[in-house]
Amino acid sequence: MAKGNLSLLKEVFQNLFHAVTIDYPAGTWPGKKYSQIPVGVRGKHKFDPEKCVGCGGCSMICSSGAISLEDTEDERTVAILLGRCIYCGRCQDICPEKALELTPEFELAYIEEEHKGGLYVKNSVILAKCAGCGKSIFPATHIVASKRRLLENIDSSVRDLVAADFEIYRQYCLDCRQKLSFELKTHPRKFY
Amino acid sequence: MEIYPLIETATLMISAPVIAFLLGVAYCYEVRKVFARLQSRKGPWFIVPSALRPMLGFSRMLQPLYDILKLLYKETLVPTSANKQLFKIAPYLALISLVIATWFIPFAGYSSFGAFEFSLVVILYLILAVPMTFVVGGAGSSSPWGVLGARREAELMLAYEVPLVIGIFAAAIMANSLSLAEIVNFQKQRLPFIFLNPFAAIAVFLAFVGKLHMKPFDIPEADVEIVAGPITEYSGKLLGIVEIVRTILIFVCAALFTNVFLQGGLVFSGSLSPLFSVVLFIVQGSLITFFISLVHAMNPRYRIDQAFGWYARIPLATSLIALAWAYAIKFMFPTLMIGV
Amino acid sequence: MSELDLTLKQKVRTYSPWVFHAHAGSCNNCDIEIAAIFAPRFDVERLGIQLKNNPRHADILLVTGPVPKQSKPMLRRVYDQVPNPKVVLVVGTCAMTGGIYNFDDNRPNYALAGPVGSVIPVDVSVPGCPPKPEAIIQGLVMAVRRLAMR
Repeated sequence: MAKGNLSLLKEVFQNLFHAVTIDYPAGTWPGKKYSQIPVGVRGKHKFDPEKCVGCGGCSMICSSGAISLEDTEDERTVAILLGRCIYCGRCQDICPEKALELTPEFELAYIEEEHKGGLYVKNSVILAKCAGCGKSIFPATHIVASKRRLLENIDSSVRDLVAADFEIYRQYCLDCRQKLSFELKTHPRKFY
Repeated sequence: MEIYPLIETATLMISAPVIAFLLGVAYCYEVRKVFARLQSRKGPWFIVPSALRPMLGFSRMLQPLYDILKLLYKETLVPTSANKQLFKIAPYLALISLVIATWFIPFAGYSSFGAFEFSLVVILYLILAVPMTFVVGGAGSSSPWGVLGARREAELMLAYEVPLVIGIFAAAIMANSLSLAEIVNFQKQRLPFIFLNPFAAIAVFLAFVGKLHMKPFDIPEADVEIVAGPITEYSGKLLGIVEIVRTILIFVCAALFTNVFLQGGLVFSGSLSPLFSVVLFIVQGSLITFFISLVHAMNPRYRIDQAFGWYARIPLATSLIALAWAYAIKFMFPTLMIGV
Repeated sequence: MSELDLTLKQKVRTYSPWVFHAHAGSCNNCDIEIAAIFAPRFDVERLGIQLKNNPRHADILLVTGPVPKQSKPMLRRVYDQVPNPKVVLVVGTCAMTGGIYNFDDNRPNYALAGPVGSVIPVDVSVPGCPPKPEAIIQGLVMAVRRLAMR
């Protein structure tokens, strides 16, 4: 017992003056932010509302089924239940428009009584309405993103023609496009 | 047999347990703070940084007192198959015994009955109530952890009592008296006993490490092996009383060591000497606590048979050497020991 | 929260909360993070919190893990053994909703008895998989405040 203690005594007395405790909950100095957050820590989600197209890719790939997509008459809501998310980041990786990001905000504790039903991070996109029959079709941002991707990838000789047709297509749902293709001059008959 | 003045004795009788409790709180805080600092972490804060003061208060020096008060405000659960009389009475018995023991311990020269002829015997007898009540309370709580802890407590008590009593009596033999006030007086006229009989000091210190349940001897309340040992079934007010008993016990042990071996703080003479004596007494007690906490932080826990075997070797041998030393010094320097 | 507008009882409960950790079938990740907050780096003994291994000595119950069917009576008994006033703090997504073991509410897992909220009443939740020790400390501070209000 004595032999082990003597060699430990030196280390123990060095510990007496050097404490490795970090200054959480509040900073030791007023106004100092907590500085020990590592780079890339995955915390609360943040949507960019202008980029999200409401495609539902995050909902399909979510590891634990935390993301749900719900449609009403006017808008589509993407809701992430923080209590079920495991903060893996797959939704962030698969989002085609890079609209979803996991910020380093990890202080998410909450009192159950104040948030009955769970704590959600939500984003709503407005659904455009069909000019022909009036039912809601695609999200408005989806249309903008589709046009951008279409015109990026198409051959430059037909770009103007496709752009003009797209402007007509996007106002109608799939059934109305079929029914009204002659009137709208989008039928391929115009090419021959 | 002396006649004790009534009012002075009554004041001291009322204030001795209070002072014992408050100093016990301070020494408990010191144990926790030193234990934490030796593990390179900050323990309970002595002065809380200003950013956290709304949440934590100005100072956490009274942390053991907050623990006790919180326990006294909680609900008490008593197991249905326990022996209710034994279970409920045990902590109060320990508390009463320790309160009576504080009347006999000189605090920098002041005490109600420190000048009683056999005060040393009375104190050692009353302190024995604490492990006894652990045994009784643990066995009466009808839980397997309590019974195991009670058995270990009884074995540990047998182990450390022998070096403790022999060591303290070696000092008493050299001082030729069993009264604590006279032992302190004896040291005042000569050297403190830590120089006159260092073997006794070592043996008694090692016995106190076991008595206060500091590692490596916190076997009866072993955290991981038996869930809290004899005090498993206690909760709320009874647990608060157990914590009060432990707090007063650390003061009693530190004060006993200071009085018997370190001259009890009475080194000064002069006009302000009572104040200096009190300060020195408290500082000596905190020094003892520091060393006990150092041992506590540096050692793992022993098994009960290892602990008994170790106590039967080094502390027992040291205390027997102390006894022989006491007689040898008394024989070789008769004029030093007797007279003056 | 200023310390001036608390009674002695509330103040003392805020200053010394004792914690018991009840393990209800977790993968041990959350348990490791709970062990980390008592280590030198995130020392919560500064706040007065001590880890006790006996529910009868505790104020705050920390529960981790989705509750398997065999553990449900154990969790119920541990909750009953904590003396009043008590606060339940649920750590990690598995304990909150079943996490990845319970894909959605329409298809419950064959081995789980449900999230902790269906076995004992829950006061504070800390999401994360596992939550960082700092997040658990924040949850503990909230739980301590709730304890004072009981």
